[in-house]
Amino acid sequence: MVRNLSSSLKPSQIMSWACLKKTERNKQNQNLNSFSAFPEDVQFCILSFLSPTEIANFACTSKRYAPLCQNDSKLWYSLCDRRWGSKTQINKWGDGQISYKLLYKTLNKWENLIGFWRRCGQSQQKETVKPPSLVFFEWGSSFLSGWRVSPSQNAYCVIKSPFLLISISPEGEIVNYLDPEGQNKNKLFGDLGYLDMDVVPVNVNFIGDSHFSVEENMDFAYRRSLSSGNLKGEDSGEDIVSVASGSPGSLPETLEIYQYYANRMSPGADRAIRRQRRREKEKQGKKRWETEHFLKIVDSSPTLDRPLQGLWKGICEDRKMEFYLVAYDEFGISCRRVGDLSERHSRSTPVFWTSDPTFIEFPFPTEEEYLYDTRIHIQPPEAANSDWDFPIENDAVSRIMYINSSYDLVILGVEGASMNPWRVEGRVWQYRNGTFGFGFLRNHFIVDLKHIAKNGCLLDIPGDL
Amino acid sequence: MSSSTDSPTLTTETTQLSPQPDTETAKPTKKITLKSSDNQIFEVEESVAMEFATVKSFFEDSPSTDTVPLPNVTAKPLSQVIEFCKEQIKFKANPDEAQKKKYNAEFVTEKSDKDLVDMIPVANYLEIKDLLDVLNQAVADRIENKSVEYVRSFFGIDNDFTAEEEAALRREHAWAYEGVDED
Repeated sequence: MVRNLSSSLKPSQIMSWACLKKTERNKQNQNLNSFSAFPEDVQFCILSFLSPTEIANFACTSKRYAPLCQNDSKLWYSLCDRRWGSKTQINKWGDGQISYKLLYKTLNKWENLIGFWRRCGQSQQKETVKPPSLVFFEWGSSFLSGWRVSPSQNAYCVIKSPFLLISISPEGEIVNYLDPEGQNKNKLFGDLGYLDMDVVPVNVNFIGDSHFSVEENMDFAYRRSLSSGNLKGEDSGEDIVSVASGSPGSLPETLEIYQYYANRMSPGADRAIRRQRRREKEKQGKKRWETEHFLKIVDSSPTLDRPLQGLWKGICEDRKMEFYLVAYDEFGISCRRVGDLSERHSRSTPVFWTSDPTFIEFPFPTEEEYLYDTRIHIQPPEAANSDWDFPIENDAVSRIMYINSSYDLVILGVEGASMNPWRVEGRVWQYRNGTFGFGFLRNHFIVDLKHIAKNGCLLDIPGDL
Repeated sequence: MSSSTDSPTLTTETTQLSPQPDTETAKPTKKITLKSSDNQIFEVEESVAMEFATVKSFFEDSPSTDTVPLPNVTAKPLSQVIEFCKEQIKFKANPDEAQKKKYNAEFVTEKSDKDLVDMIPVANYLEIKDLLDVLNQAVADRIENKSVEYVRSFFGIDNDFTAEEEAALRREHAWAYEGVDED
């Protein structure tokens, strides 16, 4: 019967008939073991492997499952736990009084802070000593902690001083505190220590994935004094206008930021700027913190393809420790001092650069061996007391790369033969342990570089912090 | 260890033909018999059966039993679950995280959607935590970036929204549908 029927059909009809049969069969199979047949904890377990987008999607499948996707203690707890459970104590955030859904949304955004950032532009603070431009974020038990990272005068040690605490209050509000001096760890990260009057409440504004600003939260200070009955105001209920919505005039003249705002101006921004300026004027007198901007250092550690990439520290020719950032781009490799990156004309002053990132492999030509052997590794001032062991033997060098010291000189070199290559030429010596040193033909030194951080942890932090 | 494959063909045939298992067959490891809801018999080594927390506690309660009935489990998913657990035993004796990961990934990749979904209640009933995690992750991966319709048909979920309700919901979640794969 069925065969007779199908033989009288056109091929296209057979196809659709076959499809129909197939769907029917699938339907039957699926009904045997549909989602509804799973016990509830299995249902939650499956959902906990999904992303928020897919959970939103799943909520749309039927009325019956929409509530599952809202279950905070079972679903959103598992989602948070699966993603951040090993890094922070997720039940401690907001004193355990905030919803896990809020926590997920918040941490999803904040997670990007983990790692290294550098201040963009010169520090605007009034202090006489320039604060370090390198900042590092890591997970705390119920907060994210931001630290200023600076070279110490003691061998290769790194100073880590408190900068920023980012957390959520039990009421679900974002709380950010800044320690302007960075002197006392307990002030910021100790138990409730952040309510100390010396710390400054701030707003942290995210601008894309690789840029944030820290501005003093004057409304917070205002509200606080209002509640203690000292002041009365009219606009305390108004929304905080973040720096993200305008006021480019007050920003450091940095290309990245300018480009950002150039693309971002919205029609409503004008009014927001005026309001912001007025507000700023009113509050200028009480300000304790000038807004600063930070850019993410995305590639902060070496990879297999980019063995020199990332943040390094080394004792330079004046025997002071410096932080360096080596970056790979379409033009080759360049190395800059981290401090210089905040300067205006940083783009023209690399410590070294090359357009040809190929290594000379072992065995090396005799003149190269001589070049390395006759050099002095610059040691930290107290090298005698430290356990820093730089590679002394030539066989510790695994590969060599040609480098140049300055853009300008090489551009001159293209034109005339008058230029002395000895003034610009240099080498990178990569050691077998993965680190490297660099030096130039103009002198007899090698600056050896070490990692600032490894596997997400800062190295060589003195024990007392 | 691999007694069943080494035993003479004749003995194996006898075992299959006789209604009672031949007790004379010398076995170095203890076997446990599992019976699926569709009356299929599975003989597994004790170490494998002890991977099933449910079977383990069954034996702790009544050690004299020789056949464990599994009324909620059909033969096909059960055979796949046994296959998985046999491999896990090997990894327990010989830990190699990379190999285990590779095996687990291959185990789920080669299964059909239906096989995966069918195994979940079995893994849950037998309380095999590792397998349940592997399966749930695999299922989540298969509905990753898929449309609502696809997810419905994957899990056999009936749409009980009215057209208006569904349109309203989708507007609410409009951001979620950018970059969704073709089914």
